[in-house]
Amino acid sequence: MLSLALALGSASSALAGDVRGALTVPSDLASLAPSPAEEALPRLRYWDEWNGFIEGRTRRLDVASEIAVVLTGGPASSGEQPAYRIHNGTLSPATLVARAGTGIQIRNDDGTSYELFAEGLGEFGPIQTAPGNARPITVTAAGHWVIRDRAHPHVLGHLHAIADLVARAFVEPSGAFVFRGVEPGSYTLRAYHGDREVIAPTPVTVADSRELVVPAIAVTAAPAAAPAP
Amino acid sequence: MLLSRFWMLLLAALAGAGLAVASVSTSLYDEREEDTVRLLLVRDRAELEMTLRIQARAQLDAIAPLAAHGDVRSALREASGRTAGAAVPDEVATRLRARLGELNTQLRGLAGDLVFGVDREGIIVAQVGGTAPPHGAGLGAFPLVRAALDGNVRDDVWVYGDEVFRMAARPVVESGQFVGAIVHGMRIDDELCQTLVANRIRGASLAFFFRDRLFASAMPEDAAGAPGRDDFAAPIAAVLGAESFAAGEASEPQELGTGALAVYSAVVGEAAGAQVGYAIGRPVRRLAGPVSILELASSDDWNAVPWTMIVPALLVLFLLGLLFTFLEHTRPLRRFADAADKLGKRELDRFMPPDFGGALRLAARSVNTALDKVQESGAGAPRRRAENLDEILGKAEAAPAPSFFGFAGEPAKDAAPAAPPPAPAASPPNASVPRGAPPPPARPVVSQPRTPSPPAPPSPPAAPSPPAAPSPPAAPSPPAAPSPPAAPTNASVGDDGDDEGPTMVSRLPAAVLPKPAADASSEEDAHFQEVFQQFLETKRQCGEPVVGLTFEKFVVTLRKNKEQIVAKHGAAQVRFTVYVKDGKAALKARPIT
Repeated sequence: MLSLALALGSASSALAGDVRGALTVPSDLASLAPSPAEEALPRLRYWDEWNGFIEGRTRRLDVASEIAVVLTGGPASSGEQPAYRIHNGTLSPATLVARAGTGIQIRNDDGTSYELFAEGLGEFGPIQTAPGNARPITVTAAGHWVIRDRAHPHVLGHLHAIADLVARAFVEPSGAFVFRGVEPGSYTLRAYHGDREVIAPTPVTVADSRELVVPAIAVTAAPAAAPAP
Repeated sequence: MLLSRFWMLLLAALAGAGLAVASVSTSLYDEREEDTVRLLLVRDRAELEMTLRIQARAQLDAIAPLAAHGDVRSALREASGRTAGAAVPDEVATRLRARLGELNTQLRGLAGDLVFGVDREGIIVAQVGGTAPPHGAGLGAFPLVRAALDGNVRDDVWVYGDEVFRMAARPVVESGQFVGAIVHGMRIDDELCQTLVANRIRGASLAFFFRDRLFASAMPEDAAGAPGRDDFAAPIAAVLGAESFAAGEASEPQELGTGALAVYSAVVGEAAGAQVGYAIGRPVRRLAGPVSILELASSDDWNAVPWTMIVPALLVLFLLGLLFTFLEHTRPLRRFADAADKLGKRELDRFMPPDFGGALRLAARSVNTALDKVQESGAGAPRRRAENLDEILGKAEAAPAPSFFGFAGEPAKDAAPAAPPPAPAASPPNASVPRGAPPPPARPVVSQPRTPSPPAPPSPPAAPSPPAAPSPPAAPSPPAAPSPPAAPTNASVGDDGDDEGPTMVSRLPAAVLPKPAADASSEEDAHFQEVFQQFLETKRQCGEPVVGLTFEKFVVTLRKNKEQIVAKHGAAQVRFTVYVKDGKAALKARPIT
């Protein structure tokens, strides 16, 4: 029986394929990071000056962290999924999508403790997570919540719990994405940025184990103002 | 008594006013002190903010050499140039850490407790101080680091590793490119608080808190009652929930358990959103009571008091009080004591109540009453030579004799028991009248009383008298006839009998009047005159009418009674004294042998 199960698993995985695609992200898509206007608020600093000899860099959207690309409309995929973690001072990805009713873990890969919590979600309260530890979270109901950190107010994320989430894509800074090990089936491709979907739901049919390349999809949603920290 | 009472009232009023003024002064002082402390706290916060701002600038300036150092720039350039996703080479990290450690030490007083060298994405390449971070840890999303990576110089306050740090960050530029940033942190601790309290906000206490936990504090050394760390804890929960804290404003002064006042405020930086703030407190020196204000006076204050005016004024007031006390208390008491002394020496028969006032007059009357009772009972006290006329002349029907004599005019005002009128010298049927004794003089007619009191008996008929003969000087007087049933009142001499009825005095025939001895007549007249004047004065003082009372009438009665006393007691002379009995003037006779 064990050998048969392994054979079936192998056969299933053999049927699973990658789904690739790319998003065309407009340059004016607002970042979830605090805007300069927000940072001009009083009492955030005593001094904020230009370095004096080189022009500063312009802010850029971290597509890989802030845009989540997912397939919905089927059972959960067994393929590799990107990890949820705290890294480089913020949530990575900042837009979290999870299958409702399943547990996830957010690992702290930074050098200081964090106290993440979801506003309005009792299952996700402010519990300190030390460096190297993972925070387990189970969201039972579908919905959307804003994630913040009690010790580091700049941290901002969004949690989408979807009942029929199939898979989450690895997203590159360029907007390219890949779903690994997706079983054949008909799905819907969605993309989230912050609290909204930024593309029209796109039907995707994975026929066999061969790699599927989805045509580039333009992010069409209007730039959304990031909520104040 | 008016002067002394007024004086006491004045003193009481002054004392009350003084207490009221002291109480009001105490309240005013406490209010002023609290207002002063509130203003000081406003100034303290402004001073603290300015100091932290200056220190942030100093911190930024101090790390400039670190960001400009060649070894630091080259290390960060190498780290930033690695392949995406690759780990930071250990050699680069080690080299950078060593260099940052050396440079940080050279900062001395501004040496950081945390120093990071981050690549252009914010990934930590090297760290000095604190716990070593995991490989790949970063700070890129922190607004401070993001600003530095974008090319700005900036400060902040962080919660990092459960501690609170003042942060400063500068970009590192190499070959015209941003290759990373230096992030410098100085811990907020007791040492920082002590420096601020000692140099910037003297007299105040300072404490920093992270949510409900106070993690750094300092108190002034020379301020009594300055709040300690634990004293700041109670208001924190309310302060954190207030909108003013979220807005970065100072709270209203909060009263601490020790009575001190404190203001609370969030720090300037991202940590304000993590509920990191500070509290500044000062003691409020409230007075324990009105007398405590004196403890605040210095020697100069006491020297400034106008003693040259106050002491003389006090002396004047004191002497006035003594004067009023003498006039209204001491002197009347002395008079009373003198009269009592004379009474004891038998120089006086009775107290003269009109001579005294207030309670002393009542005491005099009470003493006189007691003397009367003693005399009436005849027990204990030795028989005085000055006896009541009733005893001398004999009681009439166990009732006090009516008044000595009465006068035409107003009837007696009250029915108070008065001295029974002198009983007419009616000889009893069996009275032994010695032969040769002059006939008893006709008694004066006693008028009928108007009140239903026992009427005065009519004049008894003259006793059958023996043939007229020159009256011997020492002939015993016939026994007094029973006194007419006088009223129980003891009317004073001169009253209209024992009640209010007018009393008429008939003029005795001159033939029956005994002729006074030639050698004592002048003295006797003088005495009678004196007694008459005293009697008049006493009646006036007692409020009795004196209309119609003449000396001629008065002396007739005196002489008559004198004769009777002489006859009865065999006295050579009789001395009369005036006294007040039951509020009316009365006479007493004292036989003198």
